[in-house]
Amino acid sequence: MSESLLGMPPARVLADLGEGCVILTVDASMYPQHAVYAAAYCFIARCYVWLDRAEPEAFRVVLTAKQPTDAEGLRALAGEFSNELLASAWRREITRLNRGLIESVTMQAFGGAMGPPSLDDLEAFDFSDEPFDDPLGIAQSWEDKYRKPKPGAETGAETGAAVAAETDPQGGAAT
Amino acid sequence: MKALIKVGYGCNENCTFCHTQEQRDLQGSAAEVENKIHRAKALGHTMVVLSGGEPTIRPELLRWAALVAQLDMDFGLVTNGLVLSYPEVRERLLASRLKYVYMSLHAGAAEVHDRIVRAASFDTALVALRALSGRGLDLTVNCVVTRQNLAHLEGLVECVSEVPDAILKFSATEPKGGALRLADLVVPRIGDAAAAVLEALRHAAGRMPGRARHGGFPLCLLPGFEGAYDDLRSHGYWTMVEIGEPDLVPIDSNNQLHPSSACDGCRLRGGCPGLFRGYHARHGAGELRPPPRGATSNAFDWALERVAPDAVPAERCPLIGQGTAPYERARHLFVRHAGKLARYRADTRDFADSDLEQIKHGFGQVYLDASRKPAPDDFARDLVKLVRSELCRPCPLRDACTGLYEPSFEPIFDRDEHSLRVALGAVHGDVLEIGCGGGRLTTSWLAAVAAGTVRLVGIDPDGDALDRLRTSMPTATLHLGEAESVLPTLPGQSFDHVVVGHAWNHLVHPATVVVQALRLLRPGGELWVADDVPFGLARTARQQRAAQRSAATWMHRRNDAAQQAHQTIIGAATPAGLTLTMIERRDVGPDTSNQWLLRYRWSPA
Repeated sequence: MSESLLGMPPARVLADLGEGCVILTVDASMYPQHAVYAAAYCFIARCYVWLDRAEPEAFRVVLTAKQPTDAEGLRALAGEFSNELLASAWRREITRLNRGLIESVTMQAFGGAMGPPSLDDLEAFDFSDEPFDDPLGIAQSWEDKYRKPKPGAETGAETGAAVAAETDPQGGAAT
Repeated sequence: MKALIKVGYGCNENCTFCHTQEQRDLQGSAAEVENKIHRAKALGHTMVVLSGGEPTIRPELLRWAALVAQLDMDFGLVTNGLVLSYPEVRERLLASRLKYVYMSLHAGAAEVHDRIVRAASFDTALVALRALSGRGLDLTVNCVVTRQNLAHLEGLVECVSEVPDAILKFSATEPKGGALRLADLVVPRIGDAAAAVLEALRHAAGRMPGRARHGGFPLCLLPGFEGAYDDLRSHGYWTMVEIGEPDLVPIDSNNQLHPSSACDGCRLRGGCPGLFRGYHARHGAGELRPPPRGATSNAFDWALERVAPDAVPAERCPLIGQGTAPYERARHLFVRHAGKLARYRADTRDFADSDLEQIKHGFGQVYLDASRKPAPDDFARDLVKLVRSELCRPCPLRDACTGLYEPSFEPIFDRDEHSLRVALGAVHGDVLEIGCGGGRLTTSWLAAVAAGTVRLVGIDPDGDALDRLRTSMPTATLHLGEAESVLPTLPGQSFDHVVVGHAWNHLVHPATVVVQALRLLRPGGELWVADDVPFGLARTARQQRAAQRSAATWMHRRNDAAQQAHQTIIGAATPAGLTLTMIERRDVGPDTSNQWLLRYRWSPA
């Protein structure tokens, strides 16, 4: 018999005291699937964890306590899971935002391993050359010119529609 | 030689098939690119080609071109050409020794090209292409053949045929990056793509004779156009480097393979790209149509590139200090001798890279041609064996490096030949020699035949050779013809020994010959099979020119080593109910000549 828990949104969190489990419904447009995995993984020592697609736009997470527990214990599980889910989603976003920086630092480390140009090289080199004019914007990146998202930019969770658009070779065409 | 330097993966187009689609946000720093340009010069390149992504969208483009010219190298671009539509950019690049442009154009009509590159760029690209024409450039128009332009290739032929100095190349799509993500939508089946390219090449033969090429397609699918193959090697590239890689590395074909099921024994294998591994993993090799086996080469050359004084002490490696990464493990050869270090390079297309690796590092069949002959015919006198330096033995880079070689003056050809002749000379009774030729091994029995302790029957398709042998061994019975034809005409005869000496790799149908010959063997009789593996020769330019002028023809039909021959022999004998016991096997290795031996005894069940 499912029932709501104190302070938890009943549309998202239900408990079954008889089974000793709490059932969470996670909005897939808010939380990426990998964040759900990461959060659920933190509970496998204390709970039996079952992940499922409750509906096309939602994940269902069932946490069944390995040790007998009461309503307050289930409420704590639900709350901790919710917080962990938020932390996982945010860590993922931070990683995505820093990706370019990490790659740049790595690239420079590799490039630096070859050693800098010698003083003779630098002395002989003419740095006064200016970049060429680009009045027609031909040298703009494709993303800038057609106002497309930068590579690697994600907008939350991958949806079926988003994947379908990406896999349509004409979907991104600017013609 | 060209160095291909990637400057980053950002681009002003977004092709559906782009191999670096997942790295578009990664741009190399100017310092990294400039370091690599200097490194290319230090290694002796004569041209730096910038690629991406799209190298022309980098604000440093003109600066980099000027740097390359300042270092006394030519400059090249792998580009979509759009920025080259600006006259000022074009002229300044030409002034900085722009000599080479490899430009993308995927159809002869805007609606097809623009859909593939996901940008409205066809008209601009065409402006650039026409403006680049007539400027003395090595100019290639590259078309990646996808499902989207498969039906439009002849239109591109029409378009490019009007640019009189442009080469048009059709490239197969590799399932990688964007083309892997959208494989079912973008990558055509190789058979379908090759059929369309074949039609386009035929069309081009009429419209722009000699100016159409192809790359990435198995040669067996483009009959009649095998010689129009085009790749990084045929464009003179030696090295390339991606963003983040610490040093220039040799171009390679590790992303391609020759599936054994179709390609083993194919006479086109050496110069053929095979299939992209990603394609083979998805679709297998069922679309390949290898031609019937024909004559094949059993040797190749490393051409001398340069000789420099070797100032490094003898107990130290002269390669490690300059960096070993840019040198191809099989195609480069360093020889150290008498205070000098010589660098050679093999550009052969008679062998695939994997074959060259096996010949050089597996079999160790590396020789210096010390003769002045077009083709050495007395290996013991003409060739000096080159062996890996003792310095390589403990080196941690041993299995990645091209290696340091030194001459060994061991008489390995005399030693191995003498050993085989002594073993053969000990046999008695009735002997059948298949491929006796002029008597290279047959003379092992000269005294025994004269004394009557060996009764010899020989078979060979070379009548002149048999005449020479008949003079020295008048009592031998010699048959003219191919073994497959002669053996069935010897019913009632039986032998104590059947010898296939240096003829195995010349046989048209070796499995058939094995069964036919074994049926003539007496119980307890022996089958001897000996032949050579291919080898490489370090040669000077003069020696190479002499070889190219020679009338020598290919005689081999395969290049089996002992292992492949053993598999064929057992594979033929077992189903025929003929049980063989191996009693001797000599494999080829770095400390032997190129001759192997298999010896079996037939024991009826």
